[in-house]
Amino acid sequence: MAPPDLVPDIVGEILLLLPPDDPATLVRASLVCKPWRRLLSGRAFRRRYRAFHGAPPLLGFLHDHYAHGAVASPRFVPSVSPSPIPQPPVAALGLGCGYRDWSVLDCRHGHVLFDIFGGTTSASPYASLVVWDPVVGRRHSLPLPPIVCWLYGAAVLCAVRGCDHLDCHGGPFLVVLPALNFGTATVMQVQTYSSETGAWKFSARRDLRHHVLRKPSTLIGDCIYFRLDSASTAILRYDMGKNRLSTIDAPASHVFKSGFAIMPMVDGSLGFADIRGSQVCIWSKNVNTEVSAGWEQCGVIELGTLIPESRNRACVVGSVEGAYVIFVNNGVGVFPVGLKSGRVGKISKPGHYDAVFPFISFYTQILSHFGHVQLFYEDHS
Amino acid sequence: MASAGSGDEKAAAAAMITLISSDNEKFEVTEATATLSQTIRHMIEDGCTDGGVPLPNVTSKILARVIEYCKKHATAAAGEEGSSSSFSDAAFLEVDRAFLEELEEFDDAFLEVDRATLFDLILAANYLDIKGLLNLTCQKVADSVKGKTPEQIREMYNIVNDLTPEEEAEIRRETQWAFE
Repeated sequence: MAPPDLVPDIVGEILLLLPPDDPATLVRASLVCKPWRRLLSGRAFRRRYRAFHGAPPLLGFLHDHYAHGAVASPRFVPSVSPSPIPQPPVAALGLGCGYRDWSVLDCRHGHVLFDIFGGTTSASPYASLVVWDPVVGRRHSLPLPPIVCWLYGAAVLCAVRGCDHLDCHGGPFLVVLPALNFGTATVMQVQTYSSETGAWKFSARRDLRHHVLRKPSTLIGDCIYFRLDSASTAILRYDMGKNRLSTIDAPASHVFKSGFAIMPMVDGSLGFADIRGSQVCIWSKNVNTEVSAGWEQCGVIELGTLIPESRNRACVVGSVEGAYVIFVNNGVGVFPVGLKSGRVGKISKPGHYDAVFPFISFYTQILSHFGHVQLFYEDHS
Repeated sequence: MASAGSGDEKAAAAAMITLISSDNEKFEVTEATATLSQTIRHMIEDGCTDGGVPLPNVTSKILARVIEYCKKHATAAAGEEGSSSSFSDAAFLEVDRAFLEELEEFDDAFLEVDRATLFDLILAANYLDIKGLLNLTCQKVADSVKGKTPEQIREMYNIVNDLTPEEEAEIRRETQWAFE
């Protein structure tokens, strides 16, 4: 007997239940027939799918891989299989060879920000910033920021106010770049790039003696938090609404420049996680009041046997914004640790992971692009 | 909602409703069982259930299975409501856990049906608007799609490929990673 037909009415109900952390199944389902493809790529289905599944899944993380001495090349370590992001990611950018050094600066709202240095082509002989949306395969080369001989870090974020940030692919974005004058090392200034205007704008400045580290930034409300090259004055805060720079000290008992992650907490306060001995210590600080509040310890997770033993000290190397998950590296691998659940996973091989930039995204957006656009196209260059 | 147990509600729980399948078979069920279906709940609210509820889209074979599901899950819902007042917290959790396990076993066994029955159950759950049953049956189909190639999915569900070879080749080229 021939198998019965799947009536169109219920196909949507079934496809809605395909798991977000298995993007390959979504893509393969979209190749079954035109009605399935139309359904999966429709705006209504995509909205319903996001609402049904809530938070977008972690697809993996990017990190700088040092192959030959100090020359970096970003790698993507997938937490889903097969990986939707090609390896190495830079090959997919279609910029060709000839760049000496690449690194990841930030990753948020489906956008990845790269810093490229040492191009040999006459068009881009210097450093340049590139924003990449791997899900829709769009690359956006930024003009050079108006700084020379500065030490900088940068954050990328969706530019749409009031956006739920569940499907910002292909939308406008901002790059916020705090830079310290390398010569005098006394002034920090912030330059902001908008993809809508296609231009950099000087935003704010402040006297400061520390530069921003190339670690993941944290977005809470209107404020972006960067990590500073200082064990005590550890955090730089840029309030985009008030256009103001300020610094925040690490909890007094924290003694290292790195080895911690900052993250938004449930109540909108700033979270801080580091490792002492075999314990993950979690702190929070109210950053919403004008009066500066102190850090309060709000949790401890005993790592004990949760991660394998190693000769290397375990370090916090990143966090998933809004998911209460941090990444711990001890040389054996990178382990995501759920701060609420205490659950530990493993998503990478042994290696050197200084900072990891998680990529979280639904993978439904790409389905709407099939057959309509080239996989890679450039807006400005 | 145990505290809201007015006399009316208790009477409603015991009230019987007659469901009539497409092949004219009659099923007597309690209102608590029937109202797992939002469609029937609305009919009851509108007072149009006297003389039975005709369900022209559901055969007696499928309706019997649907009622079996609703009976089990209505009992589960009633058990949850009743137990909070009669057990201490620890005992309540224990009972709750045992009940959930039993319910899970029931659901697993319930899904042991051929594909034609599964599809009929999905259609009935959709028509009767029974969220739990729709989710359970659709999940089984969604799970069967996982890890399959488009060809395998088409074959399993008797779907005609209406993409042109050129379209298919282009999509595959763009998303090669998904087929590795």
